[in-house]
Amino acid sequence: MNAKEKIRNLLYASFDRELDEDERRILEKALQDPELRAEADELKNMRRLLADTSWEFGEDFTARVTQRIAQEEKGKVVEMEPERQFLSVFRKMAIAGVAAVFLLLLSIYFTSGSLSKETIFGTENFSEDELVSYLLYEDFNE
Amino acid sequence: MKKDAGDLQLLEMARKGDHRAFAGIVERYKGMVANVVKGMLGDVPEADDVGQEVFIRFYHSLERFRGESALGTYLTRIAINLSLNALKRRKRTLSLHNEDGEEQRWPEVSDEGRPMERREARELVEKALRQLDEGYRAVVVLRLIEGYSTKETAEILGIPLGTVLSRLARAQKKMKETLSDTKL
Repeated sequence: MNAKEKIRNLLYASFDRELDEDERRILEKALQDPELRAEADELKNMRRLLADTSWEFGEDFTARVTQRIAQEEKGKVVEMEPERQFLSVFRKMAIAGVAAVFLLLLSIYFTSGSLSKETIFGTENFSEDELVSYLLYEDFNE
Repeated sequence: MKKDAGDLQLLEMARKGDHRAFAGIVERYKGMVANVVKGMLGDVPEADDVGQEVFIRFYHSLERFRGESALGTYLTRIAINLSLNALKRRKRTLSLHNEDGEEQRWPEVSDEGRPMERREARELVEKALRQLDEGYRAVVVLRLIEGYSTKETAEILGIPLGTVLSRLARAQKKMKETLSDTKL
């Protein structure tokens, strides 16, 4: 790299980093050359042109983004539907089951006056021996 | 590019499912994302799609965004990554259709020697950017168009500061050659 190229590199670097004391002194001296000064001006103009450049998206950009998000979320709801349907049916069945058990217990209580094991299983009128025989021999009542 | 109270409030609301708040974030940052994406890809329809994708990706990562970096920087990182991916896809497609592999989707610029208007100046910048490889273009877009510091540019791109500085110098030399025929 020749001396001229080194000075040019220093010029480019001066826009993007802090030069040390020696570098600054060398560049200041070199900038007395009209050719390098012209290059520095060109560089400044180019950087200004770039900094002033801006682009935009189409007018309905925001609406299209939110629309795509809404569509994606709708898709998610459709995907989850079978799972939700199962949960809904399960919940209904569970409520119906609990209600049936509650009604059964209520009717036992009103007919037998208690909710003991014997009244629930209908064995309150059996003696212990009868119960054993009932459980061991299928033809107890015959 | 700084985080402000408005951003935090909009983020909080968007996290709770408020689509209007998210639209507010899009409105606030779409210009910045457009500069990054169109600076990288050119002013082509594909750039609008990539821009939308940037915000959709951000929407899906709302819960993960902890605010350690400014929202603008976070969105810029997504925008630059998606743009680089789009450029890779474009290269693959072009190599299938064009033996030279030359990018052809950027609009062509005619230099008629008239005083530059805004749109013409932009096309000229696009022409100059088109001459650069993606890595150099990304540095120019972030540092010289979006105004990030060299340190921030290095962090966004995940490259050393020295690489940013050397790419900047080379890119500017090349761009100056491209623009040298036009009075700036």
